[in-house]
Amino acid sequence: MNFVNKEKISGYQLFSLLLISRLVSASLLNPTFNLIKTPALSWVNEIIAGILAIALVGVIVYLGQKFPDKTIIGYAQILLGSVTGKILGVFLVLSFFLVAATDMRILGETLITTILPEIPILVFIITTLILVAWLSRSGLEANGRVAGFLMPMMIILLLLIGALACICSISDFSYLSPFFLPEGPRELILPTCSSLSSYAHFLVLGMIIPFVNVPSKSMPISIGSILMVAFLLTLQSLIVTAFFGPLMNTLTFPTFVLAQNITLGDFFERFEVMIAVLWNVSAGIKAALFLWAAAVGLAEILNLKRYDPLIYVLGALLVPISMLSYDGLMDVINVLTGSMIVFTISFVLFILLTLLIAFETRKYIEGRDSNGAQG
Amino acid sequence: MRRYLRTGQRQLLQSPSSDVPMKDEIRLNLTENENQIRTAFGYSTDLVIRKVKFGAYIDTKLLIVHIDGLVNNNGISESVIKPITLLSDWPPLTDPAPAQIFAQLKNRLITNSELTEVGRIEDLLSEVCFGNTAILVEGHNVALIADLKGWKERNIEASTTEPALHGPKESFVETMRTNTSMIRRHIRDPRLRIEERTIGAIGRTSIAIVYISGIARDSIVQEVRNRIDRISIDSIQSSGMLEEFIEDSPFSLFPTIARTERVDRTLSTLLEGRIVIMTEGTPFSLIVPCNIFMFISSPDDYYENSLIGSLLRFLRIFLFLISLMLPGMYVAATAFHPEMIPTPLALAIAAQREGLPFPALFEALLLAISFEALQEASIRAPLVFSATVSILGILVLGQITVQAGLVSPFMVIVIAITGIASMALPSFSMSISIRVLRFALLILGGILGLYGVIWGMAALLIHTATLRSFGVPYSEPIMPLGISGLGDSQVRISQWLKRKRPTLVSGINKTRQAAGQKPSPPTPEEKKASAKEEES
Repeated sequence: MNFVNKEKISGYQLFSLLLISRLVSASLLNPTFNLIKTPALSWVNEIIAGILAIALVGVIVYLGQKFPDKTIIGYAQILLGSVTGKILGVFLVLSFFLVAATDMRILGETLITTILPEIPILVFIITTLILVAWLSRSGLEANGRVAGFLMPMMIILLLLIGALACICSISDFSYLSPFFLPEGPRELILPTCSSLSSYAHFLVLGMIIPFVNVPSKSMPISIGSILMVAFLLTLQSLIVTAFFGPLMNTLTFPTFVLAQNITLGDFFERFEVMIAVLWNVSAGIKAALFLWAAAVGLAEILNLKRYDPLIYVLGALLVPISMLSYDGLMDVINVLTGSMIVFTISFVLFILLTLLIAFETRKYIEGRDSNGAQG
Repeated sequence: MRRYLRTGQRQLLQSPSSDVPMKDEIRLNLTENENQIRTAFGYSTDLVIRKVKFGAYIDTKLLIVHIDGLVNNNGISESVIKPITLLSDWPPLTDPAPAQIFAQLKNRLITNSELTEVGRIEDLLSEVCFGNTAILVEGHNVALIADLKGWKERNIEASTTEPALHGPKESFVETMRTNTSMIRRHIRDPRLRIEERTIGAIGRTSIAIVYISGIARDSIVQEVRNRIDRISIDSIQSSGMLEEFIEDSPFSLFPTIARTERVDRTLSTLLEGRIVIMTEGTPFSLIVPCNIFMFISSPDDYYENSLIGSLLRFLRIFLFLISLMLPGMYVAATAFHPEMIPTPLALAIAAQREGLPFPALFEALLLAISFEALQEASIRAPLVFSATVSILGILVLGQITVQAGLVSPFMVIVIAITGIASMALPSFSMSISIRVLRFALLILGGILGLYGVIWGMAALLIHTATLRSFGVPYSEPIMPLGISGLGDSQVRISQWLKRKRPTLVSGINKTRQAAGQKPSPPTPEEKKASAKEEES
């Protein structure tokens, strides 16, 4: 695979890519998306999911660092054999592709729901896809640069909205109590799983690690990005709950609606436009990242020397897939908060455990053989 | 076949005149040499060939060849003709052979500091074309070349294209040697390298690659050399032509090579590790690699307090965005998202737009195109028509169109603000790119509303993220993030804080200055020490 050495991203860019790919949907749909029955404690599941995600990412980075010049598809072929590795690689490529398609669909649906209801969704998907394919074809380096530029803005905007919601006296912090769950801790299982299923997208890290200029830093950077995401989502949950209280679960885009209600000095308003702008571009970055991962993975499976010609082919396929996979925004949300939670978590656990067991078994056998040879 | 043709074309370009046997050696016979030179120049009237005798007692003749207008006539008479005619007889030559005479000329008589020898007619002609003076000796097949160039050149004046309130009032002129001397005068270090190249088989334009060894990155210097060396053309008339041959992305609207006629700006970029390319006949130096922030910085930023400088840069970034997005955003807001505009303002705009025959997009395009036409006319029109252009612009665009009910006053304000914002950008090449892109965003905003504008901006973001200038990312130090370069990009930090040169641009010598140079009043200990010194 000769394209690994052609482009490199910095630790900061890796951090930005991971943060954006996790925050992009969450910044709009959370905490409603997490399906918690007691809004006052919607932030708890974010913390638990963050801790669990560290373990998940730990395994991905651990394996990645053992094969610093191979992607997850590359070392799967070493650990499981060429055929089995390639079959697993196909599933990974399909999952990356599906994430990109879902992301595009959410983007289109959000735009027609919030900004331009009169324009057909296909226009949004096709036009955005042109940019996504362009960015994706420009390589991970270009995507990392754009992500690095937007990431601070995204954090600042989320913090700004939180601060303004508090300053403008539109929040009622009494909504954050009581601190108990009527149905006990099991009430947190589904919301935590829902949040964790979004962290499962970090599987893409397995494709990125060989492109990081200092692979050894991948672990602290990945954990750092999870902690930052967990902090921001916890803060977002607290602010949104303090504003909407029991009404929170009735809203599809709670942060967007919250921003609509912020007015500063009766003149600075329409903060939701800034959210829409940043969210729009960030969604493009995420889709481009997953499209790139799918193309790189496919090129590896097919033993191609270049991956970029595949981008336009896969990009073109994204249009029908994203259009045909879901019936509408509610269908997307229903799938993502229903069957997809179980599927995503079990898929990621299956992939990672298979690779981890294969790696440890191989290590054990190699260690035994070398000891035997020495004896 | 293709390879053969390319070689053939190259050979054709390298030969100035196909009817003269250029590759020939200089002959022993002076008349034959004279004829060959006259034929090569096609008996041009500015070619001056003077025959003189070597002193009063030796019959050997000399030929002095130069082009009128390219040489310093005083220098020729003082350094060449006078010594030959007046000083050649003493001490008398023991052996008046041509080789002895040539040696006498070279070692004793010709007083010019720069003397070289050529043995071929082609080289002689080339040197003469460059403004040098050739001296041939009867019976000797080598010519002496004396550098006695001298021609009329413009005085060094203040820059007209990059005016600055403070700072030095000197800018480059059309003569490259004068320009390199201005740089050399300010950077008095042998590490300042000036490498010259001659481009163009016919024009033979001199190009200088200027950099500071150790401070400029070697790989970038080599890349500049490679790009210049691979140019095969008959003539390069200006730095603009050269730019087209060496830029990274010929189809990008953004300039990837910075131009300046200011000496101070050139010096500061050299000290950052950038490379300067100068072209004979052009008063602009090209700076590579460059980034997008170089186009929003002005020399005045460095002559003011760093806080003022930073605020001015923020203002320019804001104006850059206004100039790019305002018409598109306005059209998107009025046509698609009136809810985005505060209600009283939205009502005022709606009231003014009532009864207008055109949609907002067409209205904006009409005014924007008229504004561009006015701007172009005011630059191109002869000075005597400038008043007419201004009056027409003010009356027709500003007043009559509103009175006639073709456009709304709000749209006039929007286009006027946009125009002023684009003029506030210090770089014309960036400003003109923005003017083009503004139309694209306007159309996108008119068709797809806010989404269209966001789409356009995202496309620009991706484009700038992928763009490179001589291999260095165009959007550094923001994309990718480079801490050392951040101090002189959107902000301008104090000089004593600028410890490091931009990482991606500079070579091995990355440190500019020592740490701890922040100015401060004397500490009590220092005060005591100085008081003690005064007492003692």
